[in-house]
Amino acid sequence: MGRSVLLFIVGASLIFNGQLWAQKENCEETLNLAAAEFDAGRFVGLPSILGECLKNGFSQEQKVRAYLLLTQAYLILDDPASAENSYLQLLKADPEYIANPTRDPIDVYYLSKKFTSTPIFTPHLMGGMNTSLPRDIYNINTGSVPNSISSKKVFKLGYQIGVGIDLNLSSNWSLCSGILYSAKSFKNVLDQQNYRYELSITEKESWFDIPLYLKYQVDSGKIRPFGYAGLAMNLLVNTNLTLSGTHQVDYMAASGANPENLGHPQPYQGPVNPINYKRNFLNRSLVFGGGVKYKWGKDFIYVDLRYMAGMTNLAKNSYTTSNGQFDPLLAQYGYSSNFFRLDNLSISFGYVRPLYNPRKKKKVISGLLEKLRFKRTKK
Amino acid sequence: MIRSFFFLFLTMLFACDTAQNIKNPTQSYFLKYFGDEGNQTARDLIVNSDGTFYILGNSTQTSSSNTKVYIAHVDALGNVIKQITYGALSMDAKDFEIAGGNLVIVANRQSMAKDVLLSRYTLGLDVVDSVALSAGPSSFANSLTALSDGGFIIEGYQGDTSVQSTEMHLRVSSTLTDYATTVTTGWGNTNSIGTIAVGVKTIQQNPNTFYMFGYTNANYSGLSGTINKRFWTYPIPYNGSGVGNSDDPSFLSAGGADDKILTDAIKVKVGGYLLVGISNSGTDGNLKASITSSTDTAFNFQPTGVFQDKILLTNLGQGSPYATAFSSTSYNFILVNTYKTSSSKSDILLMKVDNALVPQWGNPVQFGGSGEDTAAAVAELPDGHIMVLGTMQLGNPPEQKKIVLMKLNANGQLSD
Repeated sequence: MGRSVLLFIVGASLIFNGQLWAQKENCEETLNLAAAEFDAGRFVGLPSILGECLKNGFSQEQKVRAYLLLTQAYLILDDPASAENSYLQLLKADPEYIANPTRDPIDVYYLSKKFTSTPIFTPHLMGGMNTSLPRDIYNINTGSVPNSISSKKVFKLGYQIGVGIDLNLSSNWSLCSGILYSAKSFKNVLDQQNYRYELSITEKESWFDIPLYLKYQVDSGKIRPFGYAGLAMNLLVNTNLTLSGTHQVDYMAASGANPENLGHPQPYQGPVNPINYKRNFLNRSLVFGGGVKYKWGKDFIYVDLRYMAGMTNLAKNSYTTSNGQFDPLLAQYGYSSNFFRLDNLSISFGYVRPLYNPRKKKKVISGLLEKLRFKRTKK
Repeated sequence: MIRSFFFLFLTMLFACDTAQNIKNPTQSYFLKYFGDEGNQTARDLIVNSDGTFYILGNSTQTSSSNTKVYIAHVDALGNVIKQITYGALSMDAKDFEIAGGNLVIVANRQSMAKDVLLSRYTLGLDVVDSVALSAGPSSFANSLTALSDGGFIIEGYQGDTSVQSTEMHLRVSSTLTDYATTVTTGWGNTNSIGTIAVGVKTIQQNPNTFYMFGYTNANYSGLSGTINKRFWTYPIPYNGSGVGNSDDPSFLSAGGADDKILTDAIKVKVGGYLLVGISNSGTDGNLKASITSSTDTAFNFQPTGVFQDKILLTNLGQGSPYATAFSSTSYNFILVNTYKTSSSKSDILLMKVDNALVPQWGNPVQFGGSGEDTAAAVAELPDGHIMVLGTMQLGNPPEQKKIVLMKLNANGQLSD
């Protein structure tokens, strides 16, 4: 029974593919026939010759050739409405088709200037890795001997995922925004030489970054570089602090220390401490970035390198809890929070699905200016 | 107008927080730890008119080393300008003063005889001279008072406060000469009364009158027998003799049968004296404060001279009972240890009271972590900020003890 079903499926598939191949062959012949008719100056019959294959049979590439032929024919027949409609159908078949005066008839080229298929909105998805660098505004430590605490910043990896949308102002310029969830992390190692105490402070933060930037991109080719600059609103939604390190045990009072540990570095690992009360929720940053898009069918994949330069101080309540009380972290670890901005470097890999919208151009700018009364309408 | 708002908006949008437009918080408030490896415990704080501070404490670097006196000169932001330690024998610094252009420090020496070392250092922390003093074996200082003649009185006790002790008030001249052995008029170093008598602080009233503040278990009703320990004051006469002095039945704090241990006494700015200590009731400790009439130009030793005698805080637990105070123009600040959960876990409490001992804050402000954190000194700066000196046991679990200096706002908080 099973073998019979399998044989049936394979057979049906072969027959269906054969029909498709045959249809393709026939439509190619139809297209060649139409081209010959066009060359012979018989334009009127072209729509009926191509009609059947346009409905069902042409490949995308064949559709482009067919609609280009029809556009030329309607232009010659002085039927601009039908010519425009044919060109619009051409753009729907290949939204990135750009008429070229050296390749296409000049009247088609001029007709193409009335159209665009640039997407109004371009959504995209992205994800990748990042690393953060705190930039101290004020070093607020609990050490009293200047220069007795050496500080070393250690880069840590985080990740980000998000969605974005570009409002395409033209084929090159876009106003872009989006929302990214970012896990950012950084580490500061303090060597308190006078206490022979090394403290590693690892801060893990959860952010929602909402950038708004202006992007310039090359609008043709398989590989399309882009660059952008703008601002971002950064919402710091969660911060956890982990303190660990080593302590050279020479003297331990009332701690029940094992005498065998004396003179040896003793590791310690503190618990995870939520410190949202020490961080500002709403922050801003400058956004710079660039990358390349690679055309993949009608869509794109891209890589984006972005630098967000923090503009606002993230820290508050350096010594206290949210209600102004003494923070036990001061006594447990000698920890007080520096005032700092946070810079972030990220690399993202993304997928773009342009929402192509082939359409006739409107005189948007002129209309807009008139609406804003920057330009007087002629009466 | 719209353009101005637009540019203002842009300026705000692109403004970056930097050291140029954000105030350094440590200029208004800070917390700093002092000391090296080992344990450092705080004793006293001096606020200088130039905004700097001197810190007195003790330092024990390793479990096998002697405890030394620790002194630090600290700038207005809490950074060490210079710090020193000294002491060949095991030391216990108790108090210090600036007098005659020098820093004068009194410390107990744990020698065989257990005596007191009075040392002078320049304000740059270079050694000047020192003298060892005692009223006999087991002499212990509690405080140092600089006198108007350039000399000093060291207040303390001789003996063992858990068995038998005598109040002690050693006096030296400006050249650190011992009055008891060299001054022709003689000087009585001690006052023996009850079985336990401990001097805590001497305050000079006039060139020849010194008020001693301490505690004793002497039963002043008829000068016989003993009773529970109580706050105790009496005027030390010109010759230092306390025994047989007709002023002896001076002042004893009122209250029940619990022991009341005086730990500090200060002169109140508007007149009168503030006495603070711990009242032990069973297994718990309470903060007890007594304040004398502000109308007194001199100490009124009659019970009517005390117009407030209060328990200000309860449930302070058991541990190292200690309270200290500072008098401002209209208010007084009191710093006290609280052992809430065990004898090895304590925090520091700061409270503000007026001259009628009425608390000015809703609750005392609490400082401390998971170790034994204890009070040492409190002071108010001319701009209203409050300085608190104490000891905190750092680490989780708690390990080393460090001296901590905190600059607080006028409400006692580590913020603007």
